[in-house]
Amino acid sequence: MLKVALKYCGGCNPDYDRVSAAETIQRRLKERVDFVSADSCDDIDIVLVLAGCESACTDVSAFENCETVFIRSVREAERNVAAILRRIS
Amino acid sequence: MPMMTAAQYEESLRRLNLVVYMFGKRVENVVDDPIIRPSMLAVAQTYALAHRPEYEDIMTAGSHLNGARINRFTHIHQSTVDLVKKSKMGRLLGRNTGCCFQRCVGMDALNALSIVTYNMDQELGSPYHKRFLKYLAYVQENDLTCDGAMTDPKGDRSLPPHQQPDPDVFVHIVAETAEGIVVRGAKAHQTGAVNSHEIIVMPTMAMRAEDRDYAVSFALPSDAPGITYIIGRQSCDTRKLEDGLLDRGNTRFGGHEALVVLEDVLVPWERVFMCREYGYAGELVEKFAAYHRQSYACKVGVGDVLIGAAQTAAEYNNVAKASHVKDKIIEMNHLNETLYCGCIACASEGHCEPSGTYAVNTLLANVHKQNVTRLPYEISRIAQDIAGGLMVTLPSEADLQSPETGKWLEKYFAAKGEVPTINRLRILRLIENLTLGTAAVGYLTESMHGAGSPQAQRIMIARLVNMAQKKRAAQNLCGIEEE
Repeated sequence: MLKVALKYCGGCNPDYDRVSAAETIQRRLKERVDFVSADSCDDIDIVLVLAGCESACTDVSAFENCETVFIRSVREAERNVAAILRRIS
Repeated sequence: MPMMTAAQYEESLRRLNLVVYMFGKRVENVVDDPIIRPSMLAVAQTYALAHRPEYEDIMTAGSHLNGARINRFTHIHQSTVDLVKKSKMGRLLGRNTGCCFQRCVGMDALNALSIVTYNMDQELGSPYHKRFLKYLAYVQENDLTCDGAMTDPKGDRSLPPHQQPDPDVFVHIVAETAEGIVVRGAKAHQTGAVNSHEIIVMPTMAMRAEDRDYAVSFALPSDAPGITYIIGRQSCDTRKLEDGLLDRGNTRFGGHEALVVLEDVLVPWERVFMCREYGYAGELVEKFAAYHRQSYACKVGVGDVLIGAAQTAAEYNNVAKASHVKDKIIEMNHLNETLYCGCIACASEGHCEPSGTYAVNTLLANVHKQNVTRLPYEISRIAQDIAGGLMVTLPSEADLQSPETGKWLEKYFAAKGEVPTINRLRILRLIENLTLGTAAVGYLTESMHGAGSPQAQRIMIARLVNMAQKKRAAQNLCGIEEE
């Protein structure tokens, strides 16, 4: 099963509710992927980075060996959920 | 110890034995005092948010000492990314608390000392940087809140420290022993002093040879014998003693300042970071001031709250669609984001000092702070314009709760149909709080004078701009040969 981690930006001035978006992603992908902690850097396939705005300044240096996808809006969250569902179907 | 939680922070303050006075009386229980407690809760947010995954990227950092995950408020900036995150952290916490959260000043003192103690050791062979790093490790390991204490009372402003009729109006060394130095004096306007575990003292200005006893920097536990705190009054402060929360405006958080008196306090040598090296006092002041002027990023976050309050008030009055109201809200946002530009710019244009610490661009930090001395006043003026006069003529919460008068307030202060009258009153009280109540101390007058009054920034701007280049550019374009 695909191992997916969620990582937040620092949330200084987010354009959307990142926590709510994360909950939606987890609900939509429930039992379709394996959600793992972002701290377990060695065992992640995809990191979904919930960036609150377009600057997407999140520190992702710990994830150099995994696929990193930046999500900058609710729409991008939906789009990436759909992409992951297509990928695992 | 890993990073403290908010609850652990509160408990750690209970273990301190601070000597605090307010309204002429000793405050026996500082943490639970109704006037002080909201300010403690604001500092506690710096601990709480560091534990939340949706904020950790800004609120935490990796220690350059040992790689441990630490609260960013104890971090020494290792890159321009760190500096930018510091600005963003200020906005985040300003918006989260709607007031001064008090912890930036200690971070700025630590970073300034990391630069200047290194330079002193390189040039003088002194032991200060080694001492400082040991102290920094203690602060990081225990996740401490530090008060950065710079502003002396200063007495007669035309006289240097050594010529003052009262020598104590600047903090100075009065004795030196085998154990350390003995200091006397006071530091004024100390934000968050009684919510701090440590007091880091720095000189208030550049010093000359005659003032060498005043060129002193050190750290003390906040409850060291000989330290007395006298809490400053704030407009509307005693509303916190009344029943109910509505009239406070900000029902959760606040700030405080205190006069910190140091009466013959012994500072052990391992906590002394400058001792009569007068040639470095000015450098320490400039480094600290530049960092602290950047720290006024927090006012952008408080501005976010005030803009949100003004928009809410307009919607409650059902005037939000009026073109002039929309334009005023746009103007508030323009001014607020202009402030944000400055704190991001000075961080992005930062540089690495010989110690490895990253420092902000001093010119841009001063420009940013100069903007902060002005724009919050204009943002406040517009907020009051939108709010209307009711924000200062509104009867009290007790009148709203009274069976005799409450019905009249409900009847005559109702506005847009579905909006509960009490919510309209809440938002107006918040605007009052931010623009002329307890929070105006931080949002307005502290914006004016904190981290240096406006003229201090203008002097730095005059000194730092590249005037020769500007002249060359102009002369070149109009055909003037180089003189």
